[in-house]
Amino acid sequence: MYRTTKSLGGLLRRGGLAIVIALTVSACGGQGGSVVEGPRSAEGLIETEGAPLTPTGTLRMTMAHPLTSWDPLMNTHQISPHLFTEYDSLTVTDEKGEAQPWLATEWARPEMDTWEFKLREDVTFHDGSTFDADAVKANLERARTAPAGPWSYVFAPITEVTAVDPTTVRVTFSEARAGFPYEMSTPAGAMVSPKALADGVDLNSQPAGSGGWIWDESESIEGTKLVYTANPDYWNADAVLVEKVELNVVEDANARVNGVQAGQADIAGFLAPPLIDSAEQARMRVGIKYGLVDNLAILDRNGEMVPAFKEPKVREALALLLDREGYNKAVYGGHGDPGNGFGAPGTWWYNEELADTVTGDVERAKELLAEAGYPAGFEFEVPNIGQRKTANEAIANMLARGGVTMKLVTVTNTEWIQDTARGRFPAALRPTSAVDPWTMWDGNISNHSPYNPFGLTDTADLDEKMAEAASLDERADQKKLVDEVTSEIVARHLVIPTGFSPSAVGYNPNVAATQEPILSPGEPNPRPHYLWLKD
Amino acid sequence: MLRQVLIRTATAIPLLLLVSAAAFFLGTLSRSSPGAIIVGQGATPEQIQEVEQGLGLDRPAWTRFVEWLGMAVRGDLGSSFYSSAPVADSIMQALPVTLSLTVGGLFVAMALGVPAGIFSALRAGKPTDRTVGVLTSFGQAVPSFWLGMILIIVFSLQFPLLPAIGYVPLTESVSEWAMSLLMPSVALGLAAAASIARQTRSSLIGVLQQEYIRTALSKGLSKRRIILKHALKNAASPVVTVIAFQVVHLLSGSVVIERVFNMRGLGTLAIDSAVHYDPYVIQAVVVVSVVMVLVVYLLLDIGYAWLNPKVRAL
Repeated sequence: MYRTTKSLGGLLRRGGLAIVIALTVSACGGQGGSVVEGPRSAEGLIETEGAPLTPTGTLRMTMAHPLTSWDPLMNTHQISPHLFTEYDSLTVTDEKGEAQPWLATEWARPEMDTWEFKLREDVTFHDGSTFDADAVKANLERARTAPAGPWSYVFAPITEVTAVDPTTVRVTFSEARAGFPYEMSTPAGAMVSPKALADGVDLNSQPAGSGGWIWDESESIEGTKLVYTANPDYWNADAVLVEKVELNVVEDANARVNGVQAGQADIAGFLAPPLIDSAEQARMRVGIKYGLVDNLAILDRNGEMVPAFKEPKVREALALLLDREGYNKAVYGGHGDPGNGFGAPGTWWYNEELADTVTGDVERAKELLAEAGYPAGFEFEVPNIGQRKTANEAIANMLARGGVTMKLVTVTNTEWIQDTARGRFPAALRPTSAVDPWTMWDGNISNHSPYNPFGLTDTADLDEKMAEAASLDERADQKKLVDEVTSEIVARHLVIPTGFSPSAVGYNPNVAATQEPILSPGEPNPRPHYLWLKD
Repeated sequence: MLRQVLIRTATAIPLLLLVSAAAFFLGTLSRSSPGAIIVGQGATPEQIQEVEQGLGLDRPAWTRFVEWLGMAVRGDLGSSFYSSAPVADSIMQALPVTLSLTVGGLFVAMALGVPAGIFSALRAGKPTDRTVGVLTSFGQAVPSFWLGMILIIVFSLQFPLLPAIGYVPLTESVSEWAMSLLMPSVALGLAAAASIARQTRSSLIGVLQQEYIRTALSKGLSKRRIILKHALKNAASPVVTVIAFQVVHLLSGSVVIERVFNMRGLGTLAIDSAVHYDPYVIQAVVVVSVVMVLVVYLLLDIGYAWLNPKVRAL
């Protein structure tokens, strides 16, 4: 039988009305007064009393994306729950974005360009092969020579992998890589059975992991449903509390919430911000993390396409026109974080000094535009895709208050990537990682990132600082330099942060966890470890 | 009649070729890059190019089309660029969902539309006829996705009687299959029911005004016998045409309904493959859709022949 839920009105409210309100608020360019929330765990989720002693029941999660390949190297964060039910990663990430032990028990940096990992001794892959330093070496060697994929940038700087002894592996890089332990918590760090690699198993169609659950092909339906059964020989038996895990692909956000409310699912991932309130009204427990920060990236700072962008005062004016609190309300229903900067609240590199930067000062923005020679404003184009439509419209409305016209040009998702990288647009709304500063910098903002189509040369000094930060051992020392860089990004208006986007997960009240579930910022659903069912 | 079927089947071959060629070459106009999706946002243009070369996308479009055609003729529809899964497998998973939805929608449409049309025609001009007219207008005006959402709210969330999402295969459980199809079929079939009801009404009214009906009445035949034996069969031709058109509408309308009820049929496959530009999947969906439409029209022709001896003689 399906579970009863809540009022008709509440349900009706969550669709179109939320969008109308969001756009109205964005058009008004809200000036403060919003309810700001930090990252938060799902209230009441942690419960140890009554947890089963042996794996019990079926945990049903709804996922927005289907798994297209079992090969971890071909998957992104969005596929993490599918992968990490079957696979183990070397590390996992905590809520602060810090790497924590998993298959690797500890790690250290004997040289600036070298990481050494100590490994567990009690791990066996599902195919019976042993996890050891040779297995890690085989995985990293494969990754270095594999065809280009989403994690190529992680492995490209690796120059040597050495199995020092069965439980120690050393990885040497061509440059200091401070974020490598964090990167090993992503699909890049998922360990594949060395036997499967040696036997040439087709990793697109067959998994070969050591995880807490084993994929059950007979019960799964490709592209629709993945079913896993508990691994009886798992090294971390305390983490495996459900007998079966069922991951159902439900692409529509409303349908994911409906599924949980109707009792057909236990967890809804990727909760769209307009649905967070109604999910809570329906007594779902909602957890929110911040994995990404939205930015209006000014790509044409040389002024080749839009001369105005060459003027620092113009870029400052744009930053002042963007009201971050209004953006948070319009785009994220108040569930984002309007703080300035790049490291998410709660992470080790959150820059407190940037949080209070002035925002939404239209009069000062107009003065700056006039001083720069653009009293009547100017015009530019940005690429627009479906999932960023509301955000782009909110920004366009805010810039319009200063006479600046931001035209939205509709493109497909892939065109958006290509066009932004190849210089079709002078600016673009681009999210960057709010978890790892080097991913944010090297992947998006630095002149050597893939997104420098206009050949800019204005970040050389900041590149040096980020490289220096990567060579330091202590977080406090790294933070000092990273803070300097993020403050400079804001001061020079290389990109204009508009706020941290919420990544929300809704839990049915029958779901509990013996400890905080493994859910890296940026992942849509928690990994099933430590979760159990009360009914 | 057999000759007609054979001619229809023969003309379907060049049509299929034409449509699949059009779909393929229109797809190549897309600026979407599978390589960019596979490698991800942080990729360099060189990495994207490397992946696209691996997929064969650096070769001329006509070469790729001829290659696909050769494979398709041998029954091999190729593999997805993204999952490497055989396209035929994906189609075989999605097809039963779409066919179930279409048949369910058609059942609802005919079960509601035909009786409503007859009822209305027999009371033409009376308040009950006008009421049916208002209801059919409402049925045609209501968007299927909105109706689907309302049905979910009422029958899954307020009164937990039916599943809100998902499709249960017929082979797994007949009763659960029917339960999973009930709301989507109603949402999908209501507009078609309204169209069928309107056509049935106008067609039957026209037939009831014919001379031979009046003659039959004057000879003392019962009204029930006249309607069931003479009028309905003669009024059926245009209704059958509308039903055939509605089947095509139901096939295309299932795209939206699949989304609302999370049923992964051909519509979902079509959208996913078009958004990501997965050419072999797009080709397969187009070909299968065209075949389904051609089968419907072939059945329509057979239906005409059964209803009208003049057509049979052609």
